[in-house]
Amino acid sequence: MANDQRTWWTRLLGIPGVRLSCVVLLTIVLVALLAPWIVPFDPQLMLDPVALRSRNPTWAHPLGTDPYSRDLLSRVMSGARVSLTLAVSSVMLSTVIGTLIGLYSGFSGGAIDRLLMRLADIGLSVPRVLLLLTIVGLWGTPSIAMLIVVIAATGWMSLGRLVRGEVRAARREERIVAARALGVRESQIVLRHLLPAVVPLIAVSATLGIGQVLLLESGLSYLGIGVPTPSASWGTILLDVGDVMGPGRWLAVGPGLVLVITVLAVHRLGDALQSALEMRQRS
Amino acid sequence: MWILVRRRLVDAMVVVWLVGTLSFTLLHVAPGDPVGAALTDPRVSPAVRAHWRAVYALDRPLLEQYGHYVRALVRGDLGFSFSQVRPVADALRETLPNSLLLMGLALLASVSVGAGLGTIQAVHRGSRVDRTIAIATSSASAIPEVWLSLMLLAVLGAQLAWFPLNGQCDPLTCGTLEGWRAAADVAHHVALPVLTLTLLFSVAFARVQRVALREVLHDDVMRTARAKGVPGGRLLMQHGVRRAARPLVTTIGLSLPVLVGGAVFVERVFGWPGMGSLLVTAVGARDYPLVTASAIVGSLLVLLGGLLADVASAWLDPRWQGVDA
Repeated sequence: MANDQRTWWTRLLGIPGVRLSCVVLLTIVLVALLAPWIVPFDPQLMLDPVALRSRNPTWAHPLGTDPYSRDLLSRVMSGARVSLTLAVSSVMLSTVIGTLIGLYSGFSGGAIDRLLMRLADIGLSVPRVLLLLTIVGLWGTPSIAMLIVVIAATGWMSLGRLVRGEVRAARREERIVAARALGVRESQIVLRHLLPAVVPLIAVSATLGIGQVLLLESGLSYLGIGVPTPSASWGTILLDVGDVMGPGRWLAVGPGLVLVITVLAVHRLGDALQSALEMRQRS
Repeated sequence: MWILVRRRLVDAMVVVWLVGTLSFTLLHVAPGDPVGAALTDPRVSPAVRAHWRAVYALDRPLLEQYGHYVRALVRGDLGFSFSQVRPVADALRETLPNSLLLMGLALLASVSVGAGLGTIQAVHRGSRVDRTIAIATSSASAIPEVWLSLMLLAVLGAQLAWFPLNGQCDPLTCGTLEGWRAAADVAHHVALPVLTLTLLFSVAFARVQRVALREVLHDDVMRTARAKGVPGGRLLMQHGVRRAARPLVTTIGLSLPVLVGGAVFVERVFGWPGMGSLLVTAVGARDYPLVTASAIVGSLLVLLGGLLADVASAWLDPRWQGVDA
């Protein structure tokens, strides 16, 4: 088993781009964790509203300063904290919801199964952005905790469907039938036999989900219904420097590239996880 | 086929009911009420507030209000917009065509570009071209809509001044142009938003087309046709692309929710006066009827598009040919 796992890891790391993606993501996570201690300037501090308003990059401010004369590098660093927290926690929550619903639906079958999956289908057919805009818009004052819950509540459907499908397939396997026949309790079957079967699915879906939420956050915050100001997140930074007609036309380049590179790394990792797991299943 | 249509229609009704109920619940769970929000001025006396609360039936029991609300929804009465001071239906009627124009053009361009790229990839399978396009398409899905819009706006709009920065028509001549000049003006304005959406959404179609065509290119029918001496170009177009069309159509249906979502961001950045911009403004103004109605209409649009894609894909299925369609 241990040997099996090690070869699996080496295989994953052997896929082109995976090592680089890991290095990129580790760096960003590290920066996010240490942000309060390593930022060059206070990310909220307006350094000099006259002289440093929307300034292009200099040695002192490698990404420039925003229209409020705040240091953009510091804001991107502390924004990483907010954006990653939001993405990771909402994906964790939606993964739990999706897995539970998928397991329950697949295991119970019948009318409950049909109802839940129909709901998932309907949820998938409604634009997520419209739902989020409605919920956040009607609620009034968005907070980060609420965003996490709402994004999770609108993001469980595809995983739920996948898990359910896998469970339906696994249920017919002989070892499950045998466990049943031996009188193993249903909860034990789900935990011991069915859950491990869907772990690979969960891993891939959660990884790709994080990339999705990072993109979503940037859009929602740009619309002003995401992370509340003055907290810096990667989305609110785009909102701050999004004035392409003014002097700071190019200020969005840096923060945007950080976001794109992060999502690229996440996607690469997700795709690689998927193909590594497919390889393992085949062997 | 009819089962499919019926299923979609039931879905549509459930969506209307769910979104409606969701917004009704949220409105009553969230602190304050619409009247309180509209009349925040402390000089407004409690009696005036109570009056307006009665006018909007906010003083009735919750269940009665809900019944009221559902009946109005069923009748298709979308309510009155506080912030625009006109019926919600009017505001939607004005913005919906703009959104449809933007999304229709974007979808058309995305499918054409995507299918073209996918075809090139499938034909030159494993070549450098194939790999380059594959890298480009997988990178495109990591770009946030808002950022890409901003970058295109900064380069092509502000720096090179090839395209206007904002809106739907030239503010100086807007409304005075006629015929093809007006159309050209709108086309000039819609170009950048369409380009943004196309860059982002052609990716999915390229991927699907590549896989679908690859399979078709190597099956028996194609080999027979090739053996019979059908020329290469015709072989590709008539047999290959046509038979690979079905997955493409299915993908159109599946990508609609994402396209509508992306259009909200893009409309906002480019100031395109569509439903996305309307919805965002409505959210900012806490205009509840307008928010709910835009979300419902947007979702219905997606469901309708999905239905059309389902029907088209069933029709394209060779097994359906000759059967009652």
